Amino acid sequence: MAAIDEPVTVPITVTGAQISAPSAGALLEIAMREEMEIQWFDDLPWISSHSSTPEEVLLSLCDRGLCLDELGHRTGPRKLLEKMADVHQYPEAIITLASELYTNPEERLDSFVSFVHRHADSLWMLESLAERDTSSPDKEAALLDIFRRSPEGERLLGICEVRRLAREALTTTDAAQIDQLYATGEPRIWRALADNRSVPRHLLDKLAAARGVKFAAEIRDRARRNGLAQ
Amino acid sequence: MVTIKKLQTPDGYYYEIDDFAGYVRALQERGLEAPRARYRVYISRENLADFSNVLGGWEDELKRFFKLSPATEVECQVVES
Repeated sequence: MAAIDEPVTVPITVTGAQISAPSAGALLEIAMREEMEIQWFDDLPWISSHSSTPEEVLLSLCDRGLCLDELGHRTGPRKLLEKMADVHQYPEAIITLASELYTNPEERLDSFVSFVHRHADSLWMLESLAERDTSSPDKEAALLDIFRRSPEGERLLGICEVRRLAREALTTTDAAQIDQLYATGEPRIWRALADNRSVPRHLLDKLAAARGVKFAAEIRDRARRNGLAQ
Repeated sequence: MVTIKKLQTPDGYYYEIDDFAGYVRALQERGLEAPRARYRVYISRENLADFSNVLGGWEDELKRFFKLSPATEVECQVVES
């Protein structure tokens, strides 16, 4: 009697015109066919997360609704991500695609807008986009317009505003503005200020003692290094 | 070092991982998902001859299939027995 942990042996046979050139992808395709035939699905996650698995195999698994967790965490191929987002509404695939459409200058504005409208109920996607820098002002304007119509609009616009202020906090040399930015108490803005060489010593000391806020360790570390460099 | 055993038959060759448990451990130690199946790959002499002039070659693709070097950092060797 075989031990419980004894692995199943799966034969992969390369003969005749089965594959025209040596390729790991072709072996994975044969492995999947063999496993489907014997109705043994335990290794499909391995196949679906393998970097050499051909697109057709991945799409076939996706069409059958198999290994969605593994497929949804892949960074590509593009067709797979689109299916995972549009057919299975898989959150990670939605975010990966939305981010690509928003940040890649090669991606068109209308593709981005149409995608975000299709997944406008994904709050996770909207929050994720609010945190990112875009590849074009037109995409940013379209996103802000979508945020204004969202029930979560105020919060999402707030995230965008913090991101904008954090960008300013990183480079501003205006002492009054630095004071105003510090007074916001917003951790992302503090983190940016901690890197700004124009922040005066007394504020750097305060940042270097930051506690009980998000990114506290990072803020302290950056402020200390900035202080040493000044 | 993971060993892929190569076994000659009258018509071709079988390839399989020699120490499956050690292979699984080696992949997992590097954060790579390991297969649950022990794959036994057969290639006919004819196919092997067809692939002999292809850049990279058959055994490199076989190693890639198993997630072994040079595709990953898991060192391996093919040993004919």
